[in-house]
Amino acid sequence: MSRPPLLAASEALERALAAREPDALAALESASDRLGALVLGARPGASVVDPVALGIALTAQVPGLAVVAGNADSFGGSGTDAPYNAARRLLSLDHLSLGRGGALFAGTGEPLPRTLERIRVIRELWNSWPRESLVADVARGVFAETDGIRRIEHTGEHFSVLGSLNSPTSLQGEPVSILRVGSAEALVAAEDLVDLVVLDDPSLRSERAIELVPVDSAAELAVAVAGLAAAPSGTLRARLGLPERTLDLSDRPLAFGAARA
Amino acid sequence: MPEHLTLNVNLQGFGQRPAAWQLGDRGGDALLGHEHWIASAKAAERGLLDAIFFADQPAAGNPNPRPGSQLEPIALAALLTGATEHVGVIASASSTYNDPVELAERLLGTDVVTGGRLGWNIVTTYNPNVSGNFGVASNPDRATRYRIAADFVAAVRTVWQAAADDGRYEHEGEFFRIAGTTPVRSSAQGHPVLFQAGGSGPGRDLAARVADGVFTVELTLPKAIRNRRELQAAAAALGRPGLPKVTPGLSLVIGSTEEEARARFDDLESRVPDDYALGALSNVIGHDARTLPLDEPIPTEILDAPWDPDAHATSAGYRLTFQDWIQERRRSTVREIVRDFGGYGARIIIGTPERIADDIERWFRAGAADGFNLMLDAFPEGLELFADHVAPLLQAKGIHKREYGTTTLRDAIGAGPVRGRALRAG
Repeated sequence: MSRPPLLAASEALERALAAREPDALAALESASDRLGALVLGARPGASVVDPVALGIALTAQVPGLAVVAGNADSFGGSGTDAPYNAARRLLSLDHLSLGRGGALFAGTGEPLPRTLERIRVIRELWNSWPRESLVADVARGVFAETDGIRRIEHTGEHFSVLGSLNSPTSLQGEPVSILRVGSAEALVAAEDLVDLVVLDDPSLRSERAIELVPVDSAAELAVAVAGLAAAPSGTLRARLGLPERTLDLSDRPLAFGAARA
Repeated sequence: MPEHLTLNVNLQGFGQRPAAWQLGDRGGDALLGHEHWIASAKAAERGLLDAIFFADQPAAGNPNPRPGSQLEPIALAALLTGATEHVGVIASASSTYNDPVELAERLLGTDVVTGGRLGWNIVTTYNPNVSGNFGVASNPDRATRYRIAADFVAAVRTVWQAAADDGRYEHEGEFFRIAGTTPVRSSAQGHPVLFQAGGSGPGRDLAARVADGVFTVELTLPKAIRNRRELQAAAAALGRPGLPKVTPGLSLVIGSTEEEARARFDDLESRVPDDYALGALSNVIGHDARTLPLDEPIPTEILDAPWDPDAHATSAGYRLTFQDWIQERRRSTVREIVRDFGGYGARIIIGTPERIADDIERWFRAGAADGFNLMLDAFPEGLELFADHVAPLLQAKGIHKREYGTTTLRDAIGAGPVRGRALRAG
């Protein structure tokens, strides 16, 4: 199937949107139901504005907007931020875009195995607290049923992360994950790990490949979606025709035991 | 005394009272959407508050009986400034569990998006549940955490200075050795405004040196006056007169009559298990309060026991002010103390707008505070009551602004200019 496009904003367009320039916001608003998602921070290490912050600010101004945050492993793509911190802010983007958030992992500044383990840890954290637990049962005084909240207890070669995340799964299960791959090895490793890949090597082929369409201005944004039909409404997964996705963590220990009635 | 109050609101999820989530028909996912947060931010703006404050713990806490925060504070800052025009947002972030370059760029890259309305509350993280999420067995001890914090802040400010110049930075300190080029540029207010919350000796040293605002816990007026005077004298000696702005926490339960306010408080407390408040009390007395008879005073040997700052799950500043407060209640029963201790970390006033406005004025004019970090029983309605019924009384007293005359958080709180060369963008 043909997917609605992922439009990667240039630095100039990001700056215009951050400054709330009316023509940039108007172009985005009129395009928002036809694009797959707006990708922010797509160029490794070259952002003037924080992609997660800009994405969330835009969701307050453009209802229904889907946003993918680039440099998702860390601002500037230096690979220095802890997975627990990155998992939190990317899931916050997904919550505040009402299930229309995604993460583009660039994997710059660190070896491939470390990037792969980082993504695995982040996804485990995203899945550690089921949203269905939020029952808000006033009669019993139980805000959340805690018998599904799991500590991930991840101990790997590069990361050790014990707890559950302090945020539940999103409206689309977990954020759409995308990895830039530049080698056949990375492509194989990405197979079960992420939803989609961006191929940085033209000789690579993948069913999961998706292109990032660069847009430099409000005018280019309008051109990029001209003639397109509206994308499916709902979550970013629905827009992109991706299945709901979760990780089974039932072998991990409970974080709090069952709720007391 | 400054001309006007500095007023922030500590936007603690559903509300400051543990059972706030039970009011109305909020639903379990209310903290994950826009409506709750934006309604609260608009109420803050209607009351001409300077900023919305978010505490933070990078760890999961048991959601029963009190749900914790579910969204990351810098992310929330982007949402709330995206939906408002004036009010600032102060996000807590740990100097123990972040990378200084990454956090410096993320904070400044967010400040640009907010139009210069972001503040950073520097926290060193004492919650023992955090370290395991970051691959270490336990948090560094308090003294080490503050040595790390001092070096961390110096590194962050080096990156921010570079953002104002040619982007190149280099810093070599006790813990951090960084060099590189940052792509980020200065924001409308230069860089985020710095806040600090720790009340221990090293925390207050850090505040005197770098913070434009501090969040304190003060339960008694004389101690609050003395602490503010000492902190601002220390900062003045370092060339920072009038800083940092001191905003003690103030819990409020507002009713149109004293009886209505008290009934609202009692209703909320009746929905929480008895041992919840006892657990909070245990943390500050360093003894399991659930083992104590409820209708007798706390035994003297518990109140007078020496305190080990590394052994207790509470901040040092809170323990210090609590020590004075409890001395005035040596003859009170555990049951009475738990009831008065309703602030869980702040002084509490349960009463009418008139009584609250008079109290705020008294502390402000006495030099006990530059303003307050307000904690409302439930959001957004508690904050709406404050904006519509308390703020006008403060304006009538001439101690609260009548309009926003500024566009950045730095100017709103009268913070010092950015260091060094002119750092402001455009």
